Amino acid sequence: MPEPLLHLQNIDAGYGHVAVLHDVTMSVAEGKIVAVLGRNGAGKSTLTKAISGLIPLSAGEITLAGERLDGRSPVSIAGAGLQYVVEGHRVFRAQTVRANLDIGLYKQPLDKEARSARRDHALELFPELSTRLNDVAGSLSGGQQQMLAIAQALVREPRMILVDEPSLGLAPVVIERVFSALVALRDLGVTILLVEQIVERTLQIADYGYVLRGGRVAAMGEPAELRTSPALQEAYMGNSAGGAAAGARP
Amino acid sequence: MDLTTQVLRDGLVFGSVLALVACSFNIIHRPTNVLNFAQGDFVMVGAMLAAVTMTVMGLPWLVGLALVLLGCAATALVEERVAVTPVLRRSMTSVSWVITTLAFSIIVENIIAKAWGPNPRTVPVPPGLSQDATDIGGALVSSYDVFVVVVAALILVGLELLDRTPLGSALSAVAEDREIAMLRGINPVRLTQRSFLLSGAIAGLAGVLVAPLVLANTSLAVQFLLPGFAAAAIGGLGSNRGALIGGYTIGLVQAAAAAQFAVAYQSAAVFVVLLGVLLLRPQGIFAPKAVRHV
Ligand SMILES: Nc1ncnc2c1ncn2[C@@H]1O[C@H](COP(=O)(O)OP(=O)(O)OP(=O)(O)O)[C@@H](O)[C@H]1O
Ligand SMILES: [Mg+2]
Repeated sequence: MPEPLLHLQNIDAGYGHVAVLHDVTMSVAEGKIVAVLGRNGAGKSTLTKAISGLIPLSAGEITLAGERLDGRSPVSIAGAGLQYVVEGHRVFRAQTVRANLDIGLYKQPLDKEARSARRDHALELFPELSTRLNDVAGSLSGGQQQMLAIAQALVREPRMILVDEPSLGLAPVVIERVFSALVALRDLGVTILLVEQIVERTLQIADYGYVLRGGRVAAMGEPAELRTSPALQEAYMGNSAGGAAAGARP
Repeated sequence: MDLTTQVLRDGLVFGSVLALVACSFNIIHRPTNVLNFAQGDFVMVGAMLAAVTMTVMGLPWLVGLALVLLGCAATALVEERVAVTPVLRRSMTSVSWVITTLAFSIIVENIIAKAWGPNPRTVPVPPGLSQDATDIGGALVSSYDVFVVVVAALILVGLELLDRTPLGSALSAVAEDREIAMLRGINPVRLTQRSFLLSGAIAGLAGVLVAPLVLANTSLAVQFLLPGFAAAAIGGLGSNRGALIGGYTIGLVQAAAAAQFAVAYQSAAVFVVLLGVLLLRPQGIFAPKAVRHV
């Protein structure tokens, strides 16, 4: 098996004294979509925050192409070629779409043409943004904001992106748009760690998947294996740490 | 001499200085959300350093100016290192900076008072200009007055242009969502340092400009803190145009209060106007593009 692009080895992480992730080990192979499933409060966003350097690890290590990421700042991790698209389509709402894309290129040693080529390249995946370049991002629809958030991460041409619940709050047709863009992106060679709650649609596009439950890896495997895995059912239906199953969106 | 036009002259000249102070507030506030209580001290340090370099040491005006800007920028950077970034590193939402910037302000004032004493010192105007006033439309206006107004306006135009550069855009990004800015590779601490350097230099320039009009002395820090903040708040924190309008407004209010009542009523008048504007429009007159959260 080739060396994975991203590897997490026995990581623990949380918020101050609140431990959330326990002994998580995960691998993401280059050029694949790897899904992380789990219901509300399972620790999915905590995982992506830990990988991107927003919160520190209390144990374990993270490597990207063999290079250690843990202990580094988010700015330095972005420099290593990893981009994190956070939950809730957060973009710079007061700035234009074009400015949002340019922010992804801040301090990159590129001339004017190269910059606009990067912009155009990211927009090829989301043509609906091309006509809105001069509008402020706050005036876009939720789906367009999600697309912009992904495009902003892409202009830097990362080796890998983490995408946290891109389906959140979007209509089914828009979710389709975003997911097909992720597939197109994978086919262009970008490695993707996709955090989601919507199980079936995510497993359709993923090459491999992990199930988080109570901050631990409850199951892992190919999509076909996971679909029939009792651990997946339990992670969504079971009475795990986190209360009733009401929050689940199967 | 006509009282109304004289109030207009005083308002515009001091208002221009206040506009610079207001901008210097904005520049630090943007990437940090900090309202720097030592902002007035940069003005005071600027005026005192101008007195030392230009009057005591007799250096040419431009050389003195360069040293003042360096000195004030350095003072601001020290504040960022010891009083702001350590606090923000622990928590972005902490308001401990109220205490730490106030403490920094007190320390700076004590050091300057120890070093150069309480006596007001004269500061020269640039060569070729004078404070001899000519009667223009009933107001006594000097070439130096015009210089102050023009320089302040030019600095504001410069800041407005700076906003349109990638640096300006990165600063807005940090102001709007620090976390996403970091994830996109923007280092907020580095931007904060640059902001302090620029803010210190601009407040120092305000001190150099105002010193020939009022004499350099340690009480300038207090004199400029509240009106400078009021100008920034009235204009809308973060807006350069707002800072200019806010500066002129506060300048005119102070001049009118001094003419109508007495200098002692200036602060009260500033407060009344500040409260009035903020009651009607809490975000100030020219708040930057509203960030609506859905
Ligand atoms: N800033 C925080 N401080 C303390 N605890 C937190 C913080 N953020 C999250 N938690 C806790 O960590 C646990 C995991 O939260 P996390 O956000 O990682 O879940 P998630 O799987 O992303 O859920 P969702 O699907 O709702 O986004 C929860 O119990 C939550 O209460
Ligand atoms: Mg989450």
